[in-house]
Amino acid sequence: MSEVSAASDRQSAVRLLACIDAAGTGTDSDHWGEDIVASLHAQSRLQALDFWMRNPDYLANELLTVFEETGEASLVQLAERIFDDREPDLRRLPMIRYHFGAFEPLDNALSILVAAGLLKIRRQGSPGQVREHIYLLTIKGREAMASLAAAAPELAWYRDRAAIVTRIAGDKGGKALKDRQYLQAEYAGTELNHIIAPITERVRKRLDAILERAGR
Amino acid sequence: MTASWLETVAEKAGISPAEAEIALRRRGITADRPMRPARTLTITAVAFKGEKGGKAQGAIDFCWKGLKPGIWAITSEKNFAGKSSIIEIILWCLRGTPKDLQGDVRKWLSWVALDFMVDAQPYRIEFTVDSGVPTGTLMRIRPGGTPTIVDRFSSDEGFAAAMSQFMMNTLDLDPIPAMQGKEGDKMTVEHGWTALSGGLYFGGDHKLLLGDVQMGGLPARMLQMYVGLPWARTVMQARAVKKEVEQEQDQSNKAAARAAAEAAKARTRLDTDLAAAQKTLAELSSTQATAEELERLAGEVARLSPIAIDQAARHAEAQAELKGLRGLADTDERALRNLRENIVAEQFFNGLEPVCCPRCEAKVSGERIKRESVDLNCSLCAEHIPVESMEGVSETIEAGERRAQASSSAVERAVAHEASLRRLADDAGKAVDAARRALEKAATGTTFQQRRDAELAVARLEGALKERKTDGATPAPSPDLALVRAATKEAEAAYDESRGDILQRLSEEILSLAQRLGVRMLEAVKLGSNATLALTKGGESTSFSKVTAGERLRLRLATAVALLRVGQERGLGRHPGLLIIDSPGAEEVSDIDLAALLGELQTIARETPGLQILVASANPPAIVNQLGEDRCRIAEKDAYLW
Repeated sequence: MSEVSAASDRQSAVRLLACIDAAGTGTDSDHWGEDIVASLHAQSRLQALDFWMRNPDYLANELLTVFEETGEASLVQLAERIFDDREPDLRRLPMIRYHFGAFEPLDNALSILVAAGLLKIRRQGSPGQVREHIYLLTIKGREAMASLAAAAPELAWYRDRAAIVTRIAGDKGGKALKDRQYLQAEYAGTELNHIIAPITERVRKRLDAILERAGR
Repeated sequence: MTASWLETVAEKAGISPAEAEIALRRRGITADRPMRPARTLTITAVAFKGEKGGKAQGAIDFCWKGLKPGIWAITSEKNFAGKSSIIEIILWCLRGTPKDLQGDVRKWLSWVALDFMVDAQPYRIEFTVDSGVPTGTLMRIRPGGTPTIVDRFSSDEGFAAAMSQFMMNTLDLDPIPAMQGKEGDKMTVEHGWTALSGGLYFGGDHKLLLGDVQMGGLPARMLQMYVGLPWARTVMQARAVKKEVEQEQDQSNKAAARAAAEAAKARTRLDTDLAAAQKTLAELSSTQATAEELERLAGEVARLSPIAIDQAARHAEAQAELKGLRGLADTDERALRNLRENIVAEQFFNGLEPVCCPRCEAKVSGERIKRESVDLNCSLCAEHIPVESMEGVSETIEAGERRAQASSSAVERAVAHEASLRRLADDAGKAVDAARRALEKAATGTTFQQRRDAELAVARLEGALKERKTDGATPAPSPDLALVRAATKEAEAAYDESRGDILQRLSEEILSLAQRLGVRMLEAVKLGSNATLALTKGGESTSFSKVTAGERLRLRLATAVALLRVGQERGLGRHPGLLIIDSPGAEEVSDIDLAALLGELQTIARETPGLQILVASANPPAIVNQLGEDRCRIAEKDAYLW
């Protein structure tokens, strides 16, 4: 991997839309208005979800961890697919590490969604002292995600992947998820302002060991 | 005996009589000499001068001359009047070494002379004394009175040697050999004149029948010597040499036995070592590396190494190329996917009407939307929107696909190429590793050198074992052993044969003389060849050592006189007929009836030609009364003899 891959704002918009669509919950949607179908709390949670979207090796590792906790064999198959499709080489979008974890300004990509009326963003707290961002998915937004996934298999990947990431993340908050991501030595050991290193080889071996134990 | 002793001995030893004679003489064994009568020794004068020192004062000038055979006495009222000193000075002269001469008296002396006769030949010993050390001569006095010097001396040792040589030769005596020391490690020593002269002296407490040295069976030898028993000397010599040779033989046998035992031990050890070495050698397979094989293996390593290095380098190149191509292919694939995603997303998002400002969420007015579609001004920011040209999009995607396809194919080819080069590199690496291992094994395993070492070890041990195969010959018996044994045996036979009744005759004579000298109730005497004297006294058996000191003195005197008389009777013997008796009435022999003893000795002396007796004793009246004044030197009351 000679150069650092980057995504266009539109690609990022699709990726984030997929995350919010998959992970947003409908419980308090009535509170926000008729056109809102789901809400996702906190920028940190969105970023944590996005981290797994952009780092297939870290995601595969989490899949294996959950497999070892639950014994759910389909998770191993998912991890295997990630490696078979060479996702760590082809799909990885490196992120910079800041004090509070993986971070990349999401504003441009989110603006595309907001301008098109697919997403609304509510900020709680006073101006300049935002405590929490709340991402509100509109009916139009959910329809847009379905249309995008139908338009091209490459974009359907975002929808499917977001579903997996959501499953791994569960209902945990952004801080808990970041702590979990920090568990990976490479992530924690990454110096500030540096690209978070891949853990591809380690996870590959872990997967092989699991497959071997399973008699494959 | 028709054959001589020497002939018989030579025959038994299996050598010629001439050889036997030389061998025996070398060992100091000689055939018995023809018997001849004993020589007599008679003191004729004694004189000495000097200066007294210490408490005693005055010049010394003693002279007693005109002595002849018969009994002579030195007597004084009191002790310490010089009696014993006169006796001791005479003994000093005769022996050449003082016996018990007091040190101060010896230092007082400045000149001493002793005249004596051997048979009819006069001799004179004359010497000066300086601080006790004698310097002088032994002279033979010729008929005209002119002296001829026989020997000179200027030290104690010289004087002793001169007198010993003279007396032993003149009186026909032989040194008495004796073995001394620990068993198995004995040394031959010789008792000469100093010991033999003990046969002339009768003093002290008379513990021994003859002389005063118990060591080495000396009294028995002295008896044999003075009796002059035929073959006694030869027996004595032969026995001593036999012991010596047997001891030598024994020692060399023991040494040989030790050496044999050590050799046997060494053989056992070598056998064990050899077996171990042979086992080691056998375990080193005979197909081990030779030098040629080592060289071949080293050559193989040298040949294969550059090939492996070259293949590894080519493989590394292919790997690098593959990696580069993979990166390129990945980039192409990502670019193609990005292209597709962006085209779809752009079309989708562009197809959407903006509804609000993403910044303030203000609704976009219908007018702005209208203006955008008419004027191509953005309904949000009013910037000009370029006319969408979707033309060429499919060409771009196609180009991207071709590109991705090409790079993907290149990767596939590179993968195949890398795999084949990897196999070649692996094979070459394995080949050189195998060659290296083979060389290492040949060089460091059970190697050429080890095999050679093992062979050398076996050869060395075999050699050492061969060297010790025999126990080393048992030492040949000393050639002299048979000879000496035969000589001893024959001499003993001759001695036994010729000894005849001499001891019996001596016993009779001793009995008779002892009875005359006053040994009461003595009924029988039996002299043993070992100088023991068995007695029958008052019906009881007893022996010399068990009777009183006075009786022992009488028996000793009887024995000495008997030796002289039987010798004269038989024409043999060697006792010179001089008896020197010191203090016969001393405390230890106080039961002596001195007058009776002297009277009887006087009678015996008259009967016995050549017998001279010198007595030193207290009690002048008794002595003078018995012997007459002319035969005495007397110191009366408090006077000194000199």
